[in-house]
Amino acid sequence: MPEKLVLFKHIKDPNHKTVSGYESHGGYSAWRKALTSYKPEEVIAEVKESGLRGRGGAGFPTGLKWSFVPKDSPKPRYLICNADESEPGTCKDRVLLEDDPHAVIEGMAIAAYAIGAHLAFNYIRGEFDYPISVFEKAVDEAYERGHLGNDIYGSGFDLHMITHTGGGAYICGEETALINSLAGDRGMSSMKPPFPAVEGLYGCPTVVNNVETLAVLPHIINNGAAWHKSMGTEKSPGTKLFSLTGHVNRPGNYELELGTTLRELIYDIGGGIPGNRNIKAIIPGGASCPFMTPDQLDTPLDFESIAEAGSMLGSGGCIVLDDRTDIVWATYKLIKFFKHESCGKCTPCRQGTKWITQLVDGILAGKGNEEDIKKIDDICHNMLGRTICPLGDAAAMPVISVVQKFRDDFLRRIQMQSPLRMEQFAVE
Amino acid sequence: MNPTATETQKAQMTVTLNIDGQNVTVTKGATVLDACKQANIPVPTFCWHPKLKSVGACRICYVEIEKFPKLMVSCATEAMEGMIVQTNSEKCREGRKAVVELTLLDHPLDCPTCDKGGECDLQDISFDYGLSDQSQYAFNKFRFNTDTDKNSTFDDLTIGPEMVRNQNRCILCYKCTRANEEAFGEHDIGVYYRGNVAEINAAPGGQVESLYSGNLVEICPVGALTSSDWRYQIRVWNTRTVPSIDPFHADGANITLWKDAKKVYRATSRRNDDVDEGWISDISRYGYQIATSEKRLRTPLIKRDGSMVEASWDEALELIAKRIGGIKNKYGAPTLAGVISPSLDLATLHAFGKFFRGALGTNNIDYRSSYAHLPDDPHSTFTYMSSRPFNIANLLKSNAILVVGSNLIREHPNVHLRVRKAVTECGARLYTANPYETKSGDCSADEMVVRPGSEEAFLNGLALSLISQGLAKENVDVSKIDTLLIPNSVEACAEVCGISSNRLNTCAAALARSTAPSILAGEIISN
Ligand SMILES: Cc1cc2nc3c(=O)[nH]c(=O)nc-3n(C[C@H](O)[C@H](O)[C@H](O)COP(=O)(O)O)c2cc1C
Ligand code: SF4
Ligand code: SF4
Ligand code: FES
Repeated sequence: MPEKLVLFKHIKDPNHKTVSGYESHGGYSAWRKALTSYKPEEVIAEVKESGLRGRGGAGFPTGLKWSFVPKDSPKPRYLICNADESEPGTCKDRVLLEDDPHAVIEGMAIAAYAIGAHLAFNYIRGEFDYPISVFEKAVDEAYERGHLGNDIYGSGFDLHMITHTGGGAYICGEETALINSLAGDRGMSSMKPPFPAVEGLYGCPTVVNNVETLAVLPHIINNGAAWHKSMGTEKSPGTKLFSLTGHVNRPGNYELELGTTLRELIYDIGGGIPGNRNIKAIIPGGASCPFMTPDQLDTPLDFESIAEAGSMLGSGGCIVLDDRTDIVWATYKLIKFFKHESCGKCTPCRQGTKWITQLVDGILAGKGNEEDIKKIDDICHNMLGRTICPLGDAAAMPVISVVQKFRDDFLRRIQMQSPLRMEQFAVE
Repeated sequence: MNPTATETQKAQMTVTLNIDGQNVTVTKGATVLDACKQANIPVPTFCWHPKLKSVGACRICYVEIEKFPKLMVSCATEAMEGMIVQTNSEKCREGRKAVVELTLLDHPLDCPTCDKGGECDLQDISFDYGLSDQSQYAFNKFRFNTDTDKNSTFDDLTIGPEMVRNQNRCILCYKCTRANEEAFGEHDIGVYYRGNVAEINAAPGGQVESLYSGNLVEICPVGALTSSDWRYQIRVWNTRTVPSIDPFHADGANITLWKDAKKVYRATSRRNDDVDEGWISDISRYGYQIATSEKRLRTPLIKRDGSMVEASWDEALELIAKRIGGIKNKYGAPTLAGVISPSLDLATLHAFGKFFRGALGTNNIDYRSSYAHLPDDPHSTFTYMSSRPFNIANLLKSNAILVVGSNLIREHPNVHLRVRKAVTECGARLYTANPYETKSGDCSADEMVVRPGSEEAFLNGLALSLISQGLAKENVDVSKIDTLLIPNSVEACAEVCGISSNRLNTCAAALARSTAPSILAGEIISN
């Protein structure tokens, strides 16, 4: 399947990031339509009907998430756009913020209206200097044009928007940690329940949605749920942005219908592997997803098929590793990342990531033994499902898959009993 | 109400679950751990504390619940009707064992030199769930650098006047930081860095020195926080405990004294929810030290040639008798007066009164030593706490509280904590009216700083405000009151207090509209 441009339709037009450019492409018509001719429940119903699933990693149905916001709560509600994009291998939200900021604003406005929020936050990753400046400028423009502010389009609905920049922690992308961080507390996750939809920011009902999820909303309002369902698969409708990285000829961000196969993404769109080498492993959805192997290349990229194949679609950050990759070294890089990013709140994740890092490091340094492989697997299973937030699972799952699928690589490394020479594996 | 209705109502308020084959009924909203505690079923905990919100950090309190695929942390799982819970299944024990192993990964296991030894949760739980042989962990343990403290031994870092931290022993249960913020509203201790190198420390450039800092040491489940008074003095198993009451504050926190035949080594809390919720102030905790302090006077001192010289009791008493007798003979008994501390026990106060009245023949006796206590009213009695039935715990049921004329945290540290909790957890609105800013003001809806001595005008102003806003009780004869009060308008009272009349009116209205208001009048207005 070729690329299918919905979100990326005007992405290459430099004028599109200005409010006039965006409006000339039909921008903000969905917001006007939602506000003037839909009731909030109707927006929720339309989004439910469209089958849209969250693009932040878990694929949770967006309309359903919104409907968890208590109708009768006297408290204010908040909408948060999760733009903390830090998952290794994922860089799609950045492009939307940089090149299509008004789509994000319009999507945030529609979502805020649906849940009855009058204040929306965009929590942007702190390192995103340029996207932050683009987005803030776009918010100013939207206010000037009356797309935001008080009594928008004469409807009596007020909506204000605040940009907040993160401090540079992966964990602050996890919604409870994000909410704590936004409220001025330490960026650490909290137990759920209570779920943010019931008790989130400042103890008030809050919805957290990914940038991409929000950017789809204007298209759904404009073209209808049926149109959205006509793309993708039955249970994973629509298009999805994929960040293709690693050993491929044409790395980049691509928009594809869900259900496109891995092979199509890597070979047809990504141009295959440099030097026509073979694939060793694929991480299909960002660093927290279990590794897949080349025999699974025909798996369709949709939530169900990837799950059936033992991995996750995640955030769509597809990392391709060719056959020269030292998989132990790749595991080391991965687990070291999670060790560094563990917030340290719960014991299994805090101590487990550290121990696994040391064990893999030991194997790389030529000091490992066969028992270490079992130990790694044991530790992972003591983390899996036993932590406060999914970061513990995110660290354990890929490692479990690696020691299972690439056990031989580990054994070979262990038998070499010599420290790894980095230059051997330098990426071309 | 007919009995069946009460019963159904009761059933709606409770849930019944099955724990290890035993049916347990608890109030709705209770956790599985609460239910286990109620049924005396042991479940290990590190990060749980009865008075703090559960965060599920340490993961030692795992239980297995039917229909839940994962092990659940009992301290943060709500008990549900019909739940079937196992606290000691194979899966549970395996899970806890893994947590102990992970917790001990970087722990120095220096129990022989650790002051917590013998009363350490980690020690106890490791005995129950730890590995019988060696840990599988074959790497060097992570060591925190304490170079900054040149006087340190064993990686100790002094982080407060009475507090020493050993980060290597810390299991990051976050109880100390949580209690500090949640229960005391303090921010002088915090977590720095992240993940397995996160560390507990005083705020940069500061010390952990709030009035409640000793509680942090007490609730630390391991020897990461220790107090300077108990350190290296005695082993806990060589002490005996005696229940006691805090002698320094009238709110009477319950304490336990730890002693051997010779001396007292420390005081800890003895939780009594009617009084103190298990938190005590540092004065209550470390105050016992005066009993054996080196600085304490051991003999009378007599001033000779401009300096104080040690003397025997006989010498001293003789001198006092001679001087007092001399004055009495020369100028008469009414020129004599006695001032005594109100903190002394009743028998001593009685003897003092008897001595001055009977032996010396004067009625000039007083206990008030500060301007705030100057006598106006000959009948004013010195009561730190109202003699009316007063239950500190009931403050939590109040929805509007006024503290007037009291630096509450100094006067009654436990009442202060309860007022704070009423505000932060139960949503009460707090108003304070004091001649200076106080800690209670931090969580108040309005902290009114009134002119010294203007408390009476403030209270009159409140009364007048109620009348003028039409909020006075119907059976109050309004016409009489406003002529009795001086000054006789809200504005004039506000003027005397140095605040705007708006603030007085808002406070009065909040109290009047509250279904359960509380007014705490402190020692500053005892005149
Ligand atoms: C460790 C961790 C990091 C995460 N980082 C992000 C992120 O950077 N961006 C994001 O949108 N969601 C992230 N998530 C997922 C969010 O918690 C949340 O599920 C998501 O924002 C919901 O949006 P959606 O419903 O639109 O997918 C992360 C989750 C975890 C556990
Ligand atoms: S799983 Fe890791 S990141 Fe999540 S709360 Fe626990 S320690 Fe923090
Ligand atoms: S110092 Fe003690 S109370 Fe504080 S986090 Fe560490 S172990 Fe817990
Ligand atoms: S006591 Fe339950 S998780 Fe720590």
